[in-house]
Amino acid sequence: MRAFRYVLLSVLLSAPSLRSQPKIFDVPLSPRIANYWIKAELHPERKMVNGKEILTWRNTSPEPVSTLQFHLYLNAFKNNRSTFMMESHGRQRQFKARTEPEDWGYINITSIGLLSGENLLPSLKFIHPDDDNAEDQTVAEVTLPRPVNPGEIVSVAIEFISKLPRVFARSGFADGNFFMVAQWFPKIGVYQWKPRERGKWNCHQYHANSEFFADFGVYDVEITVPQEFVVAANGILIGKRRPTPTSGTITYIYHQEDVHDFVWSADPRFVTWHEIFHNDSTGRDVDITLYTYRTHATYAPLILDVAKHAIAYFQEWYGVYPYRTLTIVDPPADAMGAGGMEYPTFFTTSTFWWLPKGVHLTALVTFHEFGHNYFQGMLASNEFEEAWLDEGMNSYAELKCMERYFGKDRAYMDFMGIKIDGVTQQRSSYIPDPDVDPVVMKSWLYAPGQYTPKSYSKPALLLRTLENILSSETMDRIMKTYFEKWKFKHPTTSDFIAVANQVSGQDLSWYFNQVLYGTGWLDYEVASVSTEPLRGELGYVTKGDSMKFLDHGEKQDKFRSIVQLRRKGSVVIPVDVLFVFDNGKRIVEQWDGKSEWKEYRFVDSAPLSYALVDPEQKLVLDVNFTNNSRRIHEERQGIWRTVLELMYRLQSFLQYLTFFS
Amino acid sequence: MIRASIREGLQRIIRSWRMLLPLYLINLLVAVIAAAPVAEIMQHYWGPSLVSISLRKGLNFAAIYELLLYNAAAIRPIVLLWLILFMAYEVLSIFLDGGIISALKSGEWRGVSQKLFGEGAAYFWRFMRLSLISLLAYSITALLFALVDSILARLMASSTLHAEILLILLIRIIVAVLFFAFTRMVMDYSKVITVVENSRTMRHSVWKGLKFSVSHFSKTYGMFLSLSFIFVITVALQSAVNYSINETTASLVAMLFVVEQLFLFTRVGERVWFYGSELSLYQAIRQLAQEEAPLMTAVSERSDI
Repeated sequence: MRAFRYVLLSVLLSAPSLRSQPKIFDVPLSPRIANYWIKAELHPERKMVNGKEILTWRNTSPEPVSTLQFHLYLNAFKNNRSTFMMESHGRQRQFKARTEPEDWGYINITSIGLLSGENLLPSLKFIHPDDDNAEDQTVAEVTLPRPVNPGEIVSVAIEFISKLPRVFARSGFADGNFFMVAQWFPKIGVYQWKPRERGKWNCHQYHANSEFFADFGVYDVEITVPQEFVVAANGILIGKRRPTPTSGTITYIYHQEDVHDFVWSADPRFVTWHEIFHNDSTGRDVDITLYTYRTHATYAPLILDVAKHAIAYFQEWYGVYPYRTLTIVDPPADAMGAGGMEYPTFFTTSTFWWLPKGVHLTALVTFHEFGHNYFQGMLASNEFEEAWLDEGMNSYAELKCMERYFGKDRAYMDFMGIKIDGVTQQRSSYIPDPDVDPVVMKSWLYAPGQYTPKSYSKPALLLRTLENILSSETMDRIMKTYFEKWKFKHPTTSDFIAVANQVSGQDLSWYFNQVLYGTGWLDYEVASVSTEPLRGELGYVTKGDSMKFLDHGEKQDKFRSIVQLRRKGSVVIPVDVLFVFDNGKRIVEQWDGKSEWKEYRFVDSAPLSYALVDPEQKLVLDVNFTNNSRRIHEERQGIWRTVLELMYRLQSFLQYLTFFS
Repeated sequence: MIRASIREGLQRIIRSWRMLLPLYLINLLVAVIAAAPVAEIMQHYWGPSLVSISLRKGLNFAAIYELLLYNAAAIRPIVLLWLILFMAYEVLSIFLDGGIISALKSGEWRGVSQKLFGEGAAYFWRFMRLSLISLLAYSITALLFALVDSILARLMASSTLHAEILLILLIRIIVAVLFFAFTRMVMDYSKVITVVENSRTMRHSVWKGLKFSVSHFSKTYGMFLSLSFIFVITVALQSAVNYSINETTASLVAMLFVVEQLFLFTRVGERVWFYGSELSLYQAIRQLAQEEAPLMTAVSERSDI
């Protein structure tokens, strides 16, 4: 074993790419805690990757560390007993796992030891820190012969075999030799140390809803594939070589810095499209490469254009995209489960070539997955514990991108007269069950069906609401400051709140406590409106010394209008209320929303026309917009238009039915 | 012969245009019954809200979503009502088919509306039996189509060219239309034969309909596809007009509704036109066959000599 390790190291070090040690950034952008040298060989016929890896890990905590924990995430696909399979029931994103032997996947560590020679394999054991599933093998721990002291570096050599599953969720293979090789190598967890707490590994099992939390580092990866294969990866391609002229294989050599994952894809059918983004912020161009298929060609220009715009928008709103490459893979139709996934400087999109152009799904996926380069890629929050920090913030960013790219009212769809804007899209996911689960909670503990509404949609809406309350300028400053302060680190919800408080100059905990940690919902309603002419005195009236009875009040030229507002949800946010009178007079009042109801009374020369809560629709978290307003006289024209439209469609449908009579 | 039959079919409709009115009114009435409870919910939910103003400009997805979400309890029984109405309309259509063909056959244009219902009743149970047979016929068609389609689907899956995939997809759609159109045509002739020959055994009618359709394939299918083409043009024109009128005012809303009703009236007419043309073609071919029969007998007798 020892001999192997020395040979492995010498081979790796003798590789031209590693010897020359290419450098992308003059100054490291991240702490570079976990660095990897990996040699991998794809065996397409067996759906396997044989790999050798040297990991160098630095203990940045102030205490010695005596164990190492690794993600072995392909074991999620090993059998139906893994936590992933039990949580997902073998289904993910409308795709279902198949059950033929080749459809399953796994990762086996065949050897692991310190470069100094000690064999760690006998101490390897599977652990399950998140649940009591002893059959889950997605996290392994090894015990070191001696602890790694603070600041010390440990180097571990690992040999592994990764059997890829048939794609139904994120990683795997598909017919026709498509390979999406993600979560494929033994990857070290994050050792976290906090004052007043003992240090511990944060190395979660692979869950149906979450998979990302890792330390930054440098990756040098050599991938050997049959020579007809085209490879896409999230590194800079620094060379290609043929191991021997007759081997029939080719080796791609990649280098990437300050990322926390390495992923690649291969397919002999890939065709590439290129675009350049001239990055004025760094002075270096970003090479955008799309790996797609001839059948998807019509969507390629859109994907590249969206990617270019995404870089521009994110740089304007959040901060610099420092990398020199952006790789996009557009999986084939039978591997859509691998689509819409994010990795640093690399993402997969989804092309639905049969969809009409007015349905902006491909653009949505492209904007969203690019956004993860910021929210998770550089701001490496813990997806397992606070998924909203990447999915939610990214959904908010996606919403802004879509609005700017397509126009606010048609951001998500503009097809056959039906327009869907971004807020409506997010609300349609959130408002059916606003009271189930808070936003901040461990991703695997959400009630069924609540992960997306609570970690994507509600956060997007609560950030848009915050933007509307504070102003766009303030929100932009919050997001920029958050990015600048926490990029290449592991920010938490508290870190974001602290930035928001500092930048806005106010304590916003009243807001975040309700919308992030609470399960309450926001719903303001105009419960009733009335307006009537004022009448003179009525009843027994004392005038001087005498009292007389007036049996009818004299009609006056003024009107009394009464409006009753109600807070139906438990979330309290101050709100503007607009009162409009028949003579065009408008009155705006602010209601703090603290009481459950409030009544407004006005005496005016004109009767009230309507009352409207939140006239600028700032509070997009409100679960019911229809009850935000109430008119004195009911509207008929708009409704009749809709009814007639419905009736005509029914008539038309009935007439189609006669085909079968 | 096709053109003559189509022309005669059209003349029959023009002569019996009064028959179209009840057909159209039944369609309108069922739609009104289906839409009325929804209108009530809309008025109750949207009426007091300013959201309703946005509906003047067009469909508001957000408003519709909230309407469905917050009125689910009221909407569920309406969905059930719609299902019942659709089934009832289908049965009513079966009832009226007998009346339509019978009225067209009689050639008497007075009291045509009464004939529609009276003759409809006379043929109702026979046409119901025909409808049950048609379920079997459509199932067989679906099976045959699935066989052909699986070959095309395999071809499509193996294709790597976008244009090629689109072309195959188009072919798949056309094949589906052709298959189901043929079955529908056979069922139409089965009805025509039932009325013309006053048959009582429906499986014989279907067999005769199939035999007639196949033995005069180019005429029957050619005419059916020609009429279908006219129908497709009507639907396309209807959609184009529908989207070109941006009903932003009450008068434009009313105008569009009137235009839509005219189109629907036309489509009701086209339904009758199919039967009228098929009846004409059947009678023409039958007459020709009857005229040729003595001639053929004479020829055969002469050849015997």
